[in-house]
Amino acid sequence: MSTVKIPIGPQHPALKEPVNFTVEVDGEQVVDAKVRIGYNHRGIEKAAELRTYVRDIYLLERVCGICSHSHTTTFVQGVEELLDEEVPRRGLYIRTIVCELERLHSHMLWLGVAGHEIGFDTLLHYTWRDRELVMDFLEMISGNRVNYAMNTIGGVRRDISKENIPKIKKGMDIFRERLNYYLKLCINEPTVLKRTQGIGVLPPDIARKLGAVGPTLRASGINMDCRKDDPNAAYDEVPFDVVTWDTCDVFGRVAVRILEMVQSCNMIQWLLDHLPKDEIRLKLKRRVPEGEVLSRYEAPRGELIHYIKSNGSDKPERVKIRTPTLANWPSVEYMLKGGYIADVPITIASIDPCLSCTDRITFVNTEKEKTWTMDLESLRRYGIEFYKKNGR
Amino acid sequence: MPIPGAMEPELLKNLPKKPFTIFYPFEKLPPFERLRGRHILYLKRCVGCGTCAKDCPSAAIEMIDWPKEYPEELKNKAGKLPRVDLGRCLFCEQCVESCPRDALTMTTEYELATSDRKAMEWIVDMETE
Amino acid sequence: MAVDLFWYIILYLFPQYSNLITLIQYLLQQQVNLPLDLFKILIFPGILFVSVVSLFAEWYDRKIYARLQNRVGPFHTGYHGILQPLADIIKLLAKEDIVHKGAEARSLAATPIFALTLSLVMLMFIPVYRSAGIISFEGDLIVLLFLSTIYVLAIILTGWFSIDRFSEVGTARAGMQLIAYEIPLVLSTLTPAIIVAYYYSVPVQVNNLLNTVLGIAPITTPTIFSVLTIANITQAQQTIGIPFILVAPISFAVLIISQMAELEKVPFDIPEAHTEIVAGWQTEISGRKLALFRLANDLEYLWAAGLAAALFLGGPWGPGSEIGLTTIERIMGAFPLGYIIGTIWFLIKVFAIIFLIANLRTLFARFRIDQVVRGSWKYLIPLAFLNILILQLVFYFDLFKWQATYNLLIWITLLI
Repeated sequence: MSTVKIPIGPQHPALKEPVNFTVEVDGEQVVDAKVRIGYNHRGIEKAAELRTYVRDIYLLERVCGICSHSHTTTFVQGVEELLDEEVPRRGLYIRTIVCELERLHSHMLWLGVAGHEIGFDTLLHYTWRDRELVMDFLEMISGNRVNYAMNTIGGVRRDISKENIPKIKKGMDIFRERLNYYLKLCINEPTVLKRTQGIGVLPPDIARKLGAVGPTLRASGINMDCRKDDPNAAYDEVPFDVVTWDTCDVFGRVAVRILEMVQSCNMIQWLLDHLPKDEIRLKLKRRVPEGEVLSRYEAPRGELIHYIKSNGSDKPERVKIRTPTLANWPSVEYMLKGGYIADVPITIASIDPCLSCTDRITFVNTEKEKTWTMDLESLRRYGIEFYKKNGR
Repeated sequence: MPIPGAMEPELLKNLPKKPFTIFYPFEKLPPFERLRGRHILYLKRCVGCGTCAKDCPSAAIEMIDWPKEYPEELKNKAGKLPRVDLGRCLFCEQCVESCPRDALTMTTEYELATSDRKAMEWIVDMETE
Repeated sequence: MAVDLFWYIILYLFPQYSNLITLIQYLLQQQVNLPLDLFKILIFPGILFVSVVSLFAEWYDRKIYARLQNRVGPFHTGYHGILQPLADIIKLLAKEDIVHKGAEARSLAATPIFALTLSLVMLMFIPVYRSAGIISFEGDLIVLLFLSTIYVLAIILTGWFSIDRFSEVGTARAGMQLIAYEIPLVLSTLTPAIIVAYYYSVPVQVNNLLNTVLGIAPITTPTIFSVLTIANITQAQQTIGIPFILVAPISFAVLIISQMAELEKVPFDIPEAHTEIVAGWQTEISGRKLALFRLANDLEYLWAAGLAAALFLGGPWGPGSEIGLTTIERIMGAFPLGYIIGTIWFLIKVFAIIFLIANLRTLFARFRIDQVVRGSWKYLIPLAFLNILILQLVFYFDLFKWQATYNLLIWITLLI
């Protein structure tokens, strides 16, 4: 029986960002799947080398619009570690509050997008309406709905004023009620259950082998969360639980994200109650001593890693970003095989792909089966030789 | 198996309610008080040091010579003024933070769309104060 | 006189076609009231009226869908967006019609016209202003269901002629969905026919009883009474006095679900699943073809609601739909106000059903095609059979007391 190759291509209504899945289909069943990324490469890592640390904060914020604060937090943490300074506690608390608010808005956006992928547009509109509450709080605190620019090397730039604190706490109560309603809805609505249960199954040992991170991993029952394993900012003081779920399918990921949102609401209320009266930032020097640092943080999508190498000047020598979506792509390839075409969009959406984050080029040499990456110098040399050979 | 249609009570509750949409050009929400909008420069405090231009992440600020329309008596020692290109500006407020004399602030005016690229290069408004 | 000469010349010239010519002569001698029929076909419950009502129905459906989701819906074109469906169709008519290489251009151009014509013809069977539609003959219920299957065939052919991987998948899914919903649709439309058949068979049974007992047959009934006619079913609801939705509610539910599967509304919009296979069978058509398909889809929506209203809710029947229509008033030439009031009642019922379908559209997520086929054969078909079974039991034990009333009336007349 011959198979048809369908390109869930760079342009498709199911994808919000360009990526290519070549899905081999036999009737309605998926036999094989291949992922190709790299459509959104913008050269951010090279651009980060040409700018000072202060300007880099705003560049790295724009790696992704939804998890922008995670990128700045990881970067700024790394630089503060290189400078060997301690940020005052109020600054850390405010940083954590904005991190948790960002987790709320990112997961709520994901819930709406997942509803849209299974054809449930009503869920999309309702969740995005409730998300406006969180966006209003973010604008109240930081002045902007996305790309908040709250972090700076040495702390945060704005304070939360006294009038805003009760408003945010009341808003979290309202939000928690809505979240309980969505959880009840997803458990009780059979059309949603039929589309999410038993689909995109990722057994725990394969999840560990393929390197899945974030809610994808936690829905397979493995308890791994950077906020507990390697706490940064104020996470060692805030009480919270790591949410795992036993079924390794898409429904597990939905449940994990909703319950994580409930945990975030509780965390924000605790943090607002216990804000220490302190400074919010330290004025630090611009030149960073030599060294290299690896800083980790749990972004809404998983574990985010920044590697920063400095050479003593005020510009970094090398910044490398490993985003959680990049770590989750091999799991998607595994999950797509054996399903139906109708399950492809929701499976891809269940890892919460953020293609703006995945911005690296990987070369795969299929003859010798070797994988390597090039930095810019060798890429440039390769490009010059290639064009010389083929005639410009 | 639970009965389908779990969302029905919520839907029927929303039918007579006013829709959540805001008809933007005809009705507008008031902006929050610390929204980052257009810049304002306090001429009496500016010394023309150029730190804002050095720290701007997208190189949107350019130091220009003192323009002829501005009063001569307020001219600072360096004789230069910042000019913000609102097309390149990220509205990140780094310039406000880096200014050693607190001469730059941002207002809450956010409706800055125009169809003329030249009009984006905005010599920062002055406040004699 | 000249007409007879004309036919004589024709018959002389073509003697071998004499049978055909006599047939044509017979047809032309039928009573054709040309202006009134043209008015009926083109304007009043014909093309213009039905198109306007279907565009209005699409606006109504979109507004309900939006309001249930706490948003606004179409707003700016016309008063509260009422011209929006018309604006969509006009915009599509003005766009470029791209036919990709490898597709069969002529067949692809023919299928939208085919679909549009079919939906207009199907709409002429629906009773709008009186209990019979423009086209009405005995057995037209079966013909109508057959035509609706051919409409889906137009959809399948469109996906087949545009040779594209997404369209192939959409076509296969449309075919599978046809297998799934066809049987429940037919079964649930046959249920009102069964009720009418029983009602009109009661006098016949009583007649037979009296014949054997008393030797006389006092009741006259029409000897041939066709049940599978929409006009008769609609009329029967008026005569009996109950809309059939109260008698057979399960069949009504099955009919609504099957119609949603035919119209490809969520949860059954699998052949044109927007997030999975770009647009399914509609991927490669653009411009005028897409405009005609959209119009055909709207007309089909109105047809589905109209059929449910006619079969289960009584069509144009309500208080006041008889004014000006009794025999005396007709002879006196009074204005048939009953027709206008009947149309208003029909529109009210159609919009109630459209509200129901729009509500169901908002409520569910999309199914997968194997779940639709499995669910339909496991649940919908047994439900349709269940209702017929219940009805048979009801009629056997005569729960509606039709037979008993008849018997009582006969004995009273005989005693008197």
